Amino acid sequence: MTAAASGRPAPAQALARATARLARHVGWSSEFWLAYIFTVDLSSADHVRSELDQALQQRSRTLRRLRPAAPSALLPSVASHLGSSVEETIWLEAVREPGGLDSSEEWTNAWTNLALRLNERRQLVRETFNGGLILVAHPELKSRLRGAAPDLWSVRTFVFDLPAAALPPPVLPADGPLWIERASFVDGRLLARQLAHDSSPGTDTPQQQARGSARLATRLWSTGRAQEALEHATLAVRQYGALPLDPATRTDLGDALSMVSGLQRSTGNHAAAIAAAREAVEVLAPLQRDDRPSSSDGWARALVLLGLALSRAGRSADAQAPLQEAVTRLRSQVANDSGTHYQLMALSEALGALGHVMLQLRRWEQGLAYYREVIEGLSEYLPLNVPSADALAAHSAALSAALIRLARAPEARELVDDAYASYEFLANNDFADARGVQPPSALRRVAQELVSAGHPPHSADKWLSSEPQTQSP
Amino acid sequence: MADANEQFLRAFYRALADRPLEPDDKWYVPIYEGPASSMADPVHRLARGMSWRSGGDSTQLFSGFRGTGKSTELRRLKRLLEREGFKVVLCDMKHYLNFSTPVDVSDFLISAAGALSDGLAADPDLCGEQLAHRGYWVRAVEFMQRTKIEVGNLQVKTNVGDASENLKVGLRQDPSFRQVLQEKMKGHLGKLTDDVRQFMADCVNALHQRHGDDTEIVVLFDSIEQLRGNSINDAEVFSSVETLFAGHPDKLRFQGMHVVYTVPPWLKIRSPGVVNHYDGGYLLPCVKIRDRAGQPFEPGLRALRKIVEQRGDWTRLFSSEEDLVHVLLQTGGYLRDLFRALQNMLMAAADGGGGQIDRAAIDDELASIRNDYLPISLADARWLADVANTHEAELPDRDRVPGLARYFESHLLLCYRNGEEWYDLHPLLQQTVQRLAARGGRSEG
Repeated sequence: MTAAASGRPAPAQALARATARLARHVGWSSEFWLAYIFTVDLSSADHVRSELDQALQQRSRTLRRLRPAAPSALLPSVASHLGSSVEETIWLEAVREPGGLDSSEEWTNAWTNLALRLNERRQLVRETFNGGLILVAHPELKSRLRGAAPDLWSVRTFVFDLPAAALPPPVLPADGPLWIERASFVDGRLLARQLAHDSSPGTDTPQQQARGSARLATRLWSTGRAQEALEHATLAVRQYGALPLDPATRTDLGDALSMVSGLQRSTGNHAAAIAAAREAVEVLAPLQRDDRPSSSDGWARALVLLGLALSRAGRSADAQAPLQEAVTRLRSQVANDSGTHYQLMALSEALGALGHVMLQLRRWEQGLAYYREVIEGLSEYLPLNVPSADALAAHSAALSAALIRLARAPEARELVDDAYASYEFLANNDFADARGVQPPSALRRVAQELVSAGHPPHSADKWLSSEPQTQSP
Repeated sequence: MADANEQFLRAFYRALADRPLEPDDKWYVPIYEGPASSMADPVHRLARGMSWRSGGDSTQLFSGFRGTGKSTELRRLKRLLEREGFKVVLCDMKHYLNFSTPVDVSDFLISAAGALSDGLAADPDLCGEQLAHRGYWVRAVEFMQRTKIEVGNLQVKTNVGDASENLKVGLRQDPSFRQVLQEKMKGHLGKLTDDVRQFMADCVNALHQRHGDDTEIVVLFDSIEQLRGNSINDAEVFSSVETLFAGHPDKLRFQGMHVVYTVPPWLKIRSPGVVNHYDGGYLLPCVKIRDRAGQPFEPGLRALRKIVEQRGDWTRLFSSEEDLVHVLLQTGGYLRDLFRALQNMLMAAADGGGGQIDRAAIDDELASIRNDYLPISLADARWLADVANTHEAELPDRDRVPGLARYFESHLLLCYRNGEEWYDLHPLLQQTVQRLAARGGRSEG
């Protein structure tokens, strides 16, 4: 039965990569080889083993699976072959978590002992296992196996960190960059008055009318009235478009187009979102050539929106370039000490979006690295307040979800704990605003995933036992 | 994928498989002879330390990082010396020492003499059968019988031949046997040393008798650097290695014989003056791809480029030389990582239909190599970041030696040389370590 037919999610790219690499390797190489597979999920390991078995059978070769039932049987299962000539590919599997149940310390010690002994006799190991040797263990044993058998580790052919295929798909940040679309009002009555003022027709100049339309669109979007906001943002684009395109108008037109793109994306109209963002980039590009720093923020924002729109339309490969460009521009601004709070948040969002895209492209390590940069940047440079804690939590949730899939739950647990600690700090220091301090639901979901995966965050009891709150806009 | 492409990728992939090379292998590139190694080829230095020295004996230390070609370079040294007329015995001490338990000068001397005895007996050109019938193992048992040292079943009631075999196996495989032997030998170390020295002198005489009085003899004791213990006793084992080489240099010299011991790279850091007790001490560094200021180092890159070119046509894998140099720089001059990265990239090329791969795919494969080194603890990151900043591997306290050894063994830390040795982080880990260290600093602050 295929994975899809069994109702499980399709194997992740990490599985595909592992199976493809192993299958090709057995076709290309005829010498001793050594692979380490680390996973918490035996179904992932089974998938790889079964594919490898097939690849070997096609070459009239065989795979022998060794699954010692007790820790004391681990070393003999391999050592008993040493000195002979084993043509089969040996798959030695014992996935037991250190510190878990099932006498796992004994398993950990058994694995360490096996590593030490094989390391001492590595030449014999190389001479014995002509068909290759694959060691399948829990991810938390990776450092231990590396340290106990450095010689063996140094001649490894592959190391695969397999994802847990049985877990649900990752939780990624809410649709859209938080810093662009966040509401900046707290008082409903005041907002109503502002809306009424912005909506009233006046005798303004065409420039002022266009700005009024844009301002109204922003306020409407803040209240969640996206459709009305889109109408006014579109009107602003038309009004700016009718004006002579001096640099100031060009900047305003680009910003209005960016708003249209964000609104179109939020209503699911991806094609229109892409078109508007692309137009914003084109409108703002000449200002970049003239090297006008004031327009850089808008241009970077347009690039991020274009990347997000392409990504949401399923065009992740196309999304990479504009996001990369935005990241490069914003990084440079931040590095030149001209980084404002806005630019730092913008860089975080651009990196987060790029991280998301890289994960979609199954470039796991790059995706993880971008998310890590966001989290470390947010922690390091931004003052801790509700918006930065929310941004931190959203990205921590996304990164943690990806890490869980890559069988790196302990790292995810650390991130989730850090994110909850921010809220703990806010709550304990009276930072609460009108909305109250509450972690976003994405963080809660990933914390629950960790509980299910057997890695409950230390903070889980307190936060998960309370009722879920509505996620902040 | 076209057959020709598949064949090319497969052949290139196979050529990168990990195996020690003989110096005359078609793939061998003398990377330690030129400026890539600061013009100081350790092998030539070692050889010169023997041929220039009058009196026919010397004792030198040789350190090699795993995967830098130490086995190949020792073979080259052997070949070079043999060409110059030396008689060379290569003794792999992994067959005689137990790497997981502390070593003592007494059992080391027995093991070394036993290893030389076996090496001479196994080579018909050296001593062959002449030594085989009464090698050192028998002699060692007789010594113990003479001095009434009772260890296990080595005493008179046992057949001497069996007892000598038991001694050899006990030293290698039975930690309690070694421990008892070490205890019992404490009062007899002087006599044992004399006995071993006499045996070594007998070997020299036997070789002179067979090959002429002008024949110079070299013994290369390999693999000693692998003494490391385990997570429980590593500090004790490291300390024992230091005591052996820093505390007993006189007992490790033998009349009429040039000796080279391979020692762990951390020994010089833990005991900075240790080399002064010997006639020389050389370290096989990684191929230097950047200078201390971080600028790319062209001679090193040229050497690595040549190594790659010998194995396959990289222009069919990368679209520009820039991409190749990127891979060379990122793998830090550590050949095994370079080969592993190239193998992964060849697979990526095959995945993509067999053509050249772009920079994004290259970085993906490098990221997968980086992942092999992770996770790194915050404590490790802090110390490693200090090394990256200063290029010095100073130990804050002696308890850190096991950690230092671990960094070297796992190649988190790489050693280079321009005249003097200096250290750097593996390039693939630079950013991760600095980030972690900064994070650790913040959480402490």
